[in-house]
Formats: sequence, C-alpha cells, structure tokens
Amino acid sequence: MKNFSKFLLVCSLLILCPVSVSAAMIKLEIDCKLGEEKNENRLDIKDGYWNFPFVKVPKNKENEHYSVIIESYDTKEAKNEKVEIAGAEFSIKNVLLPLNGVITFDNKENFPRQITILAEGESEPVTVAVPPKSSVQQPFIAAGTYKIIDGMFSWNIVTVNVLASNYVWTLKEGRNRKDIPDIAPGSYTLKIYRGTSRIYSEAFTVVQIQNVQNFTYKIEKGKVVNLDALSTSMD
Amino acid sequence: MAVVITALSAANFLLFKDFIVKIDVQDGAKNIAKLAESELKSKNYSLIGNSFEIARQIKIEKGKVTSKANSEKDYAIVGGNGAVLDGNFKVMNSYAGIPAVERALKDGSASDGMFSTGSDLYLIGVAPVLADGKLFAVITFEKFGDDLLSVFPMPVRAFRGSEQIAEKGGDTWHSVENSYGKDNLNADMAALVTSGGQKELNAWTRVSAFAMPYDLAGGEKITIVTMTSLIPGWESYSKVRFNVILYSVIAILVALFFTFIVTHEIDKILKKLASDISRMRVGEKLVLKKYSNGADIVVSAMNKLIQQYLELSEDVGSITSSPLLRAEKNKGGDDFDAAVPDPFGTGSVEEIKAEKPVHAEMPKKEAPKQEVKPEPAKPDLSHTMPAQLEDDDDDEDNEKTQIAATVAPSVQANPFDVLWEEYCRIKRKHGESVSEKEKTAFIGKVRTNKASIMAKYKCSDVQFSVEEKDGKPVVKAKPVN
Repeated sequence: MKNFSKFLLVCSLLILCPVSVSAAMIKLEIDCKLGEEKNENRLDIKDGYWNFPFVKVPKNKENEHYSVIIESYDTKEAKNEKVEIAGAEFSIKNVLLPLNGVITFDNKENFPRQITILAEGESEPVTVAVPPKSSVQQPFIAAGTYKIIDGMFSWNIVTVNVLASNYVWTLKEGRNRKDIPDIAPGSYTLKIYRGTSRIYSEAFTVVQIQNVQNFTYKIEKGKVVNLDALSTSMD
Repeated sequence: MAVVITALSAANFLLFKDFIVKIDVQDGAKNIAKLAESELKSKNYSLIGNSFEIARQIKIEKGKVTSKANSEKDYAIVGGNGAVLDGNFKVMNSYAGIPAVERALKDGSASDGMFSTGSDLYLIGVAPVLADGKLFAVITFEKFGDDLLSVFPMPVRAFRGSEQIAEKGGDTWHSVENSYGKDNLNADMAALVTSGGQKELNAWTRVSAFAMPYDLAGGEKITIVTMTSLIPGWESYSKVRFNVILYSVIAILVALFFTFIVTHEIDKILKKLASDISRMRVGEKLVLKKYSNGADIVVSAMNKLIQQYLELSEDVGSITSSPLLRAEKNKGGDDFDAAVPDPFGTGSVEEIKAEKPVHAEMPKKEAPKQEVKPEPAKPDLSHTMPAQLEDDDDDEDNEKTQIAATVAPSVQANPFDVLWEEYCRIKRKHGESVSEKEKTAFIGKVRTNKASIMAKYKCSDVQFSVEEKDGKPVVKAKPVN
C-alpha cells in the first residue's frame, strides 16, 4: 500500500509538470533606411505678428523615427523618456511610450515650471510642478493618448501615446538586430510605427517547443517589406 | 418767459448732444483705438530695428560672440537651439519656442512678438543673424507696463486675459468709475476683453478695444482698451449733466429776475406817463427827454398828435372860429368890408432872437380847464409857450416832469379870440365902442400878419400880445423859433 502511494505521487508529478519549460526565441532583423520628414518639433504658430524673410534657409527637416512594438509581450525592461523644458519649448513634441513607461521632465530654466497632463477623454487634468533646474518623473500606467501642456507657454505641448504593450524598440539607420529569447508561447502582434503612426502590423504565434523564429523586414521610404513572407505594409 | 428759456435751454442741450453724437459718426473712438494700435506696432518695429542695429555690431565666430554690442535697450543673442549666448538682459536660459525667435532661427525672418514669464510681459523684436552658415538671433526686449503705455495719448488699460496688467490715465478712469459706476465699467471692460469692439459709456465717452496678435493655439490674449472722450475733460458725464441743469436753472432765475426788473420799470414809467397825461391841460405837450424805455416813443407820438390837433384847430378857426362866429357871419352877411383898425399900430414886431420859448407860470391843476376868461388875471398869450408845471404837492415830480403849456386853440380858448377880447377891453376902457363886425377883420389881419412875419423871419410861430399905448390898443408880435 505504501509503495502504491509513492507510485501515484510520482505519476501525478509527471502529469502536472511540463516536459519542457523553456520559452521560444524570436530574432528580429530590420534594415532601415531613414528618410527626411517635416520636423515635428517645428513650431508653426500663426500669431498674426508682422515678419519678413531676411535670411534664406533650407526647409527644416529631420530624420524619420521608426519603432517596433510587440503587443502581448511583457518585458521587465522599463523604458524612460526624457523631456527637457527650455524656454518655451519641450525638447520632444511626440512620445511613443510603452505601458508603465516614465517620462522625466527636466526644467532647464531658473524659475519653476508647471505642466498639465490631460488624458484624452478625461476632464480632470493632472498638474505637475517642476522646480528650477530640477527634474520630475511622471509614470504613465494606462494606455491612451495624453497631452502635456506647458503652464507658462500654452502653445508648448507634448503628445504622449502610451501603448498597450510595454515593449518598444526604436530603430536606427541601417541594419537593426534584436533577439528576444524569453518570449513565452502564445499569440503576438508585431507593429511598426513611424513617429506615432502605425504603418505595419503582423500577428504571429510562438509555439510551446523550443525553437527560433526569424523576422526580417526592410523599411524604405516609409514602406515596410517582410522579406520572409514578401508581404509589404499597406502604407 | 421762463417756459421759453427752459425750452431753449433744453433744445440747446439736445442739439449739442446730437452734435456730439454726430461727431462719432466719423468713427472718432474707433480711430483712436487704431491710433493706439499703430503706436504699439510702431513700438514693436522699433524693437526689430534695434535688433538689426545690434546684429550689425556683433561678430560671431565658432558659435561664440566675440564682439559686443552697445545698446540702451535690453537685448540677448541666442544660438540655433534658442540658448542664450550673450546679451545684457536675461529672462530665460533659452528662448526656444518663442514664436518670433523660432521664425528667426528656423525661417530666417525678422519679426516682432511678445512673451510672458509669470507676471512679467515683454514685447520683443527679433532679427536673424547668419554666421558661419548657422542662424543666430538677436532679441530686443521692452517690458510691457505703465511705462510702455505712456506712448499712448489717451487713457488706456491693458489686460492679459481678463486680468488688468497696466493702466494709463488713472485719474480719468477713476472719474469715469465715479460717474458711470465701477461695477458697470468693469462689466463693460470684461465684455470688451472677450469680444472686442467698442462701448458707449455715456453720450460723450466711449471705450474701444483691440487685441494684440497672439498664438492661435490658446495663448493668452493681450487686450488694449482705450477711452475716448469726445469733449476733452468731460468724462464725468453725470457731473456735467448736473452742472448743465444747475446752470440752466440759474440762468432761468437770472432771466426771471431781470424780466421782473424790466417789466416793473416799464410799468412804473407808464404809470408816471399816465399820471402826467391825466394832469395835462388842453394844448400842453410832454417833454420828450424826460421819458425812456418806450415811453418816449409814446410821448413823441402824443406830441405829434397834439401838434396836428392844434394845427387843425387853427385851420378850422380861420374859417369858422366858433359856432357863435358862424352865427354872426350868417346873420351879418359880408363882414370883410367893415372898417377895422390896424391892430399892429406902428410896426410892433419885436426883434428876433434865437431864444427859447418863454417859460410861463402855468395855472395850478385846480385852475379852470379848457375855458379862457378874459376878465380874470391877464393871461399870457403865448401861442406855444413851455411852462414849468407847478405842483405844490410834489416838487420832485415837478423837477422831472415838464409840460409844454400852450393856450388852447379851441373855440373857447382861441388865442385870436383872446387877443380880440383884450383889444376890445382896451378900447372900451377909453370909451370907444367896438362892434362885433370888426372882429373878423381883426382876426383876419392878425392871421395875415402872422403869416407874413413867419415868412419874413423864418420862424415857426409868432406870439401876439395887446398893449395899451397912448390910450389905444396896439398888437405886438414876437417871432418864436
């Protein structure tokens, strides 16, 4: 009777424990060719004041920004963004922030600043005071779009897009490689953003067995090409 | 009279008010606001000009300012990212994001603008500077406050949003507050700040508002409210209205007072004239110079009437002197052939002198009226003889009032009859008989002589008198001018 009980216990443990507990790995490889786009930080205020061109300057443009999001993938890495407040300008005008991301507001002036954070659809804004020559961190724990308004210069606004995912990979010019070794089996969605606009979306499944899945893309002139499946973005 | 004056005052007030309102048809208040706007714009342009002047002086090498600029105005030089590189005035470490600075650094344009940090508001003029292929900017500052508003020639209030931040002409504003009401004025100001335009505070005082350019993304609006008084110094409409009413009432009272004085005086003069007329005897005239204020016209007219009456009587007398004479004439047939002694004897015309009429003592008021009696005291036969009217009761009145006495030329007091009676009396005195037939001839002779004497001596009248000489009556004539 005693040996029978030991047998049942061993059998139960064998049934309850998985055969393999290791997660799958995905390898991302994106060849990115950044183009130029209109500078989103460019202030374009039609305030009615008189002005006349004095110096001829080229149109101000900046490189495109691309980001890769994997929805449903929960990473332990926290991502912070830093927004400097100098004069009447935030250093960044648009922020793509992962869920639970933190923005650090850095006041470069010698007087206190006050910023107002207003979530889209909400009526109650949150006011954050930033002391002179100091920084304040503000976490964003709910997905959605936020407007951050300078209390002194009301036209100075940052738009923050807080994603449902907490994984954001910012692409650079050239070949970008990223290995995600600890992705658990399940269904995921890979999204590519240009700035704060989504330009590509692809769903994929990670199987329970230990294997490596490769994702190879090419981004050029605002278009995304999946080199594995030869599918292109709709953009 | 009072009603007329009141009506005229009211009409004058309304006309004047209407006139003032019509002045506003020329958009006076609106033009004043435009003038203020232009003054402000001009100020901003001067700031841009100053920035260019500084840009001309400085030298930038490798991102650093190596040559300083002299400027009486506050200025700052900023790099391409808006950070301050140099200058004599620093509000912020960076002017990035200020629209005028952005236009200079990103577009290479010079422009004006404004910004505020906390309670301070600054007007700025920004000029771009190209050095080493990079854009820099020079910013000139002017703090927005009471000093800046001194450029405006009229009372001005400046609002940032709904908050008043500067004012010019405080005394005038306060007087309007006292007159118009502080709460009313504040309510009108709030409406103007919100929607602009102009508002009539009272008939003569208006306020107009214009907003300075501001960012359309929601920046605070700077509103300038100007006050225009169509009549300088008449901002206190209520006080002016009170004063106008007060002065009108005073004017009416003064007019009433003088009206009373004048009417009283006229009444007094007319009463006196009536009194003098009541004391006049037939043939008397009033002395013109003793009357005024319209009574002199009446006296003149009366004297003329009397003169005409006398002349008429004389003319009538020459034909039919009296009913009695007419009866005699009818009964006696032609009397003109009767022998009549020469009443003038040996030329009895007195030497002519330019002398005034002889003043004769006139009978008293109680003296018998209208009738001339030959028997009583010898009357003076002056035809037109001014005489001092005696009045025992009132000597003062006698001094003022002179009545020109004349023998009444009526049927009863015909001077020729009197003369004839005197002539007869002397005749009878010496036992000579006189027939009534001689009378017509006598009077005709006297008339003829009178006419000839008047023509000869160019006088206006002739006084006749009868004197006794050697027991015979002699008629003497005296020319009167």
